[in-house]
This record gives sequence, C-alpha cells and structure tokens, in this order.
Amino acid sequence: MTCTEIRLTDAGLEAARIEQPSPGPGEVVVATRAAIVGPTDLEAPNNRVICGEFSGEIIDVGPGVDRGMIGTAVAVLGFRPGGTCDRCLDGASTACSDLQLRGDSIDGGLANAVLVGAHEVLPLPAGLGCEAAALMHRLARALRAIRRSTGRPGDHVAVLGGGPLALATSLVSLSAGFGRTAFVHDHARCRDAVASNGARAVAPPGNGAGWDELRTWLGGYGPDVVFECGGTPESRLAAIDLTRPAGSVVLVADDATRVPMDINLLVMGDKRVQGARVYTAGEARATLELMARSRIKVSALIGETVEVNAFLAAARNGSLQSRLAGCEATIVRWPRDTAVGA
Amino acid sequence: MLAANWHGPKDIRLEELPDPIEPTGEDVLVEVSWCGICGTDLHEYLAGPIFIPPHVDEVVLGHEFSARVVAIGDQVDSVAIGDRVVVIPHRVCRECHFCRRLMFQHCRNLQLIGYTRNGAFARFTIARQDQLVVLPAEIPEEFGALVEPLAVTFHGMRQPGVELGADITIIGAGPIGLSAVATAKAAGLGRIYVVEMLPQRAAIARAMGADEVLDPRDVEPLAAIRELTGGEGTSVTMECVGREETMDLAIQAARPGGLVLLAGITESPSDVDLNAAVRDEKEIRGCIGYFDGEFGAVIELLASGRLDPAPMITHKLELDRIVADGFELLVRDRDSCIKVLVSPS
Ligand SMILES: [Zn+2]
Ligand SMILES: [Zn+2]
Ligand SMILES: [Zn+2]
Repeated sequence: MTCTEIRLTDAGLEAARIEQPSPGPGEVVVATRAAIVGPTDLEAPNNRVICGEFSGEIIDVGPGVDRGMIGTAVAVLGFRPGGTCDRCLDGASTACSDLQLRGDSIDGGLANAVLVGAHEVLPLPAGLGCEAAALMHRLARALRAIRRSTGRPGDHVAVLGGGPLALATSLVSLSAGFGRTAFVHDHARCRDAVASNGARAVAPPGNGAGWDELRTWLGGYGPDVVFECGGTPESRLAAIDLTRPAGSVVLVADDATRVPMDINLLVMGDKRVQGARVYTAGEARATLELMARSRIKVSALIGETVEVNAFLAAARNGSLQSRLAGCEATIVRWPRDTAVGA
Repeated sequence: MLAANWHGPKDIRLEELPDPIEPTGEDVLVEVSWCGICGTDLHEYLAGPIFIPPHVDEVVLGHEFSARVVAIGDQVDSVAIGDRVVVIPHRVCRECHFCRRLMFQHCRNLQLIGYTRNGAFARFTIARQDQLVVLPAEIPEEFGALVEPLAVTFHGMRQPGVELGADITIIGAGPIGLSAVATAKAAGLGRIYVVEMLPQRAAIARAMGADEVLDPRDVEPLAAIRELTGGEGTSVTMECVGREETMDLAIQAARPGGLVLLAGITESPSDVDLNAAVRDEKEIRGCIGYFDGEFGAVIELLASGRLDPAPMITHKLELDRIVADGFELLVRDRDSCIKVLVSPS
C-alpha cells in the first residue's frame, strides 16, 4: 500500500509517496490524523519529515505487539531518548545526553504512515480526540515544568514570556491548584484566553513600578515560582528578579543567547533555576487524562485547523508562514482515506 | 575593651571601646573565645562597605565565633552564665512576612552581628538568647568558631538532589571550598573532586577528604572531571570562588540532571549559561546562609568526630595583631592562610 509523507526540502514542503513501512518487533505504524505545524517546522533540517507534535491511529503492528492495538487512537511522544547513556540507564531519560527530537533530529509525524516504537505511543483516554491530543507534547512539557518546580497547591506563580509554551504553561498551571497566577505576555488575544480561565493577565510592565505592583499582588514579595517561557535573556533576568527570596524559576523555553546578568540575584536571593525540556511517558499519560477531563482548557490553545491538502496549497502559494505566527497551534488534519497532493 | 573597629576601607582601628551595658530582656552578654576572619570581613577591609549598611560609620567586625555567657537579661531561660556557646549572627525580627513563615534568613528587618551590630573582634558582644547554641564540652572553642562557615556549606549538602554516595565537584579550596569538602564527606557523599591551583590549599583539601585535586594549570578541569566520571560529570557541583569562569565550570561539570550550587559571590554581572537548566535538566541553585537548626546539626557532627575542620585552622592570633598579621596576611598569602582565628580575651 502506498502512503504519503511531507518533507521539508530545498524546494519547500514536498509530499512524497512511500511504501507503507512494515513494522519490526516492538514497532507500530501510526497514520497521523492531526499534527501541529509551527514556524520551527519550516526551519527543520533538509529532507526531514516535519512535525514533532502529532497524534493518529495505529494501522499496523510488528511481532510481539498486541494486534488488538490496530485501530487505537494514540498520541506519540515528541522525542526519542538514546537509551544507552547513564541517565537513560538510571531511568532518567528526560535528561538523556543523546535525546532526539521528532521533526528535528529525527523524522516527524506529518505522514499517514509513521513507524514508531509501541512504547512511544499512548492510547487516548475516552473523550479525547486526535486534534486536541496533538497538543499533548507542549502540555506535557508544561506539566513536567510544574511537577519539577517547588510550587505546591496554594502557592502563587507567574508565567512569563511569549510563545506557544507560555500559553500552554499558563493553562496547565491553572489546573494545579496554585493560589494566584499572573500571566505576563505580549499578545492581547492570548491574555484574554488565559484571563478568562482565571489568571490575572497583563502586558509586560514597562517599568519597575509595574513589576513591583505585580510582586505585591503575588503575595507581597513576589511569586513562589516563575515559569519563564520566553527564552530571551531579558525574560530570564525578569523571572529571576520577580521571584521571591528563596523562590524558584523554571525555564520552560528552549535555549536563549547568553547575556551578562547579575547572577548574585540568584545567589544572594537564595533562589534556584530549574528547567524542563521533555517529559516522561507517565507525565504524558497524566497530561492526556487532565485534557480528557477538561481540566486543561485545550480550546484556548487551538488557532486554525486546516486540512492537509489546503495546508500544502498554502505552503506552495507562500501564504503559510504568516499564518503560523501566533501562540495558538495551527493543526493540520489528515482524515482517513485522504488522497494527498493529488 | 579593645576592639577592631571598621571605619572604612583599609581603615580598621584597634580602639578602646566602652564595655557593653548589662543585658536586658532576652539579651545575653558573651565574652568572645575565638572569632574567625571571614572572606567577607576581608572584602569589608579592602573595599567596604559591602554588607555593612551605607549609613554605618563604624562597626566592630567579626561574626564567626564561639564565646562564654557572662551576664543574662531577666527574660533569658535557654542559657546560663558560664555556658560555652556558638552565636548565630542573624538577629531576626520574628514578626515580618518571612519570619512568620520560618524563613528567618530572609527576615526583612535582619540585623547581623559584625555588620549592623558590633561583632566579635572585641572582648564582649551582645546576642539575643535565640542566637545562641550551646557548645558541648568535648568540642574545642576553636572549632566553635568554625561552626558558622561549616553551616554555610552544610546547608548546601542538605539540599534535595545531594544524595548519599553521590559524587561532587568543589571549585575552589578556600575556607568555603574546604568547608564544602568537610561537610560533603560528613554528609555521605561519594567521590569528592576539588579544583584548586594553590598547592597548600590543594594539600589541605586532600587532608580533609578530597579524592582528587585538579590543578587547572596542569589539566583542563572540565575534561578531567568528565574523564573521571565516565564522560558524565558529577551529580553535584559547588562553586566556592565567585568568578564567571568558575560558575560556568560548575554548570558544565554537573552531569545531566545534576545539581549546581553557587556559593561564591561575583563582583560584577556575569555571563552564566542557564541554558543547561533546560537542555540537560540541571538545577542551578544559590547557596547562601543557613537555617538556625543547621548550627546544632553541625555541632552534633563535630561532637561525633564525623566532621573534622582542624586542617582549616592555619593561624591563631591575639586581637592586637589582627590587622598586620590577620587581614594583611590574608591579602599577602592566599595559599597558606585559610582560617585565621583571633582571640580577644
Ligand atoms: Zn540516553
Ligand atoms: Zn501569545
Ligand atoms: Zn523578620
């Protein structure tokens, strides 16, 4: 049977016909039903199948895998640990030294036949559809950031910075029983979405008085935990400054450039910086449960939903880039029996 | 009484000050046995005021000390005249936001003996009874003066992520680095690697329990630590120098998922790579100060012999020699001079 996968090449996004792969021992084939496309997908290495965040349906299983799984809707872990480094052998593969990210260092999921390990897929709980489940990766990153933090129910927190992870982290934090939650973010539309779910959402204060006001609202001396999602040097410095003495900052964003900063703020303030990059399978499962129970308000995270052929057309006519700019996810739908690129 | 009174940078005067008045309320008058010169005292001497508030014109330095109780206020019930004690320099308000949450080291109205109140480079000083921890008879009073610096690094060893049998890299073998070696050993850590280039400090680190001391002039320390740990780095690293390069080394030398404790204070803004927190899930934590209860725990470890700070004591002097043979010696001879203990009595 022939299938289709969408790769980023020098000539742009291309739909390529492939033979459906036959799964080896312990492997399954997933037909993607929903995938999230963002700006970084258009910067993937050459000839990579794009999309690290996707969900779909199992259409074939290899030896040793329960055939009853065929037809199951699943979310797929957005990364693959190497499995052999000391961290992996310690069972701490989130800090794996050889971690590969789907859609980046290995092929992603924008295809209707994706070969993955049976241990890399998570069946969707009842009531959760594939489109929402495609958001699992970013929400599980947020969940891990919250779990790893020192924040406990009743603590005051702030979510700082721009970008999809900021939106995801603020919505997950609203399900964690925190006391006051402040969302400091550039976009009015994102602020409205988070405010309507119970946070106080403000634009980044332009001056010290604005930050002081926020600090006062967050328990007097600043929040117990700040989740820094912007990844800019300014945002990181603001996060360390904002958090209360002996509080913690969790970096949820990817790498920021280095910039001179007063590290004594950290040392003298008895503060800590932690980070979260990916998540465990258990954390992914917990995220899916919270999503299925509507404890995380997924709708605020979804921007445009576009069918796969319309998506390819937009890529060809150059209108795609501008549509991917916001923090909300652009979801590509790939319904069963769709003829792609035809 | 004779006192070493700070008036400004390079201006510590040996002066006759009036003895403190009879203590009232919960206050206790103590006679100082031994007081160590701390790295921050040296900073105050060379470039102060740093921790001394700007409005203070003069103050008696000295906050690492053991003493004997000589008079007590009418509300004192936890110590008696004649007790040998160690003094916690923090005098907290017990009323502010942080005190009410038992986070005394962040008290908004914190007073510090030796910075905001007259300290222990004098025969007598005053403390409140909740600042005193009784020193058991088997612990020499010289060791009592080391409880404060030991508590700083002991606080680090009590952080989540510092685990029994784990390996550690300690950067710098000055007083704090050597305290880290001693407390790491007492806390049950495994292999202890130290990065230090001064030969006598390196020798003392070895004597106190370091398994390996790396001299950055001989080896590239990061490569050496990775080689010693199968390419991974150590579970814990502790920076005890306060320079940008060594902070970066501390972050890089921690294994993925490891803990970085920053105990050094830098003199200027530093370009430190926090990306490792995300990329490798390293946790980077400021490590300054201690909880009051940690003084008692350090004293227990000293009493049981599991903590032996003796090699750190390199010099002992009378108070009248504190400037020429104390502060100036610390400036002149960083290698052989670790902890100078001063006796004002
Ligand atoms: Zn690994
Ligand atoms: Zn936004
Ligand atoms: Zn207080």
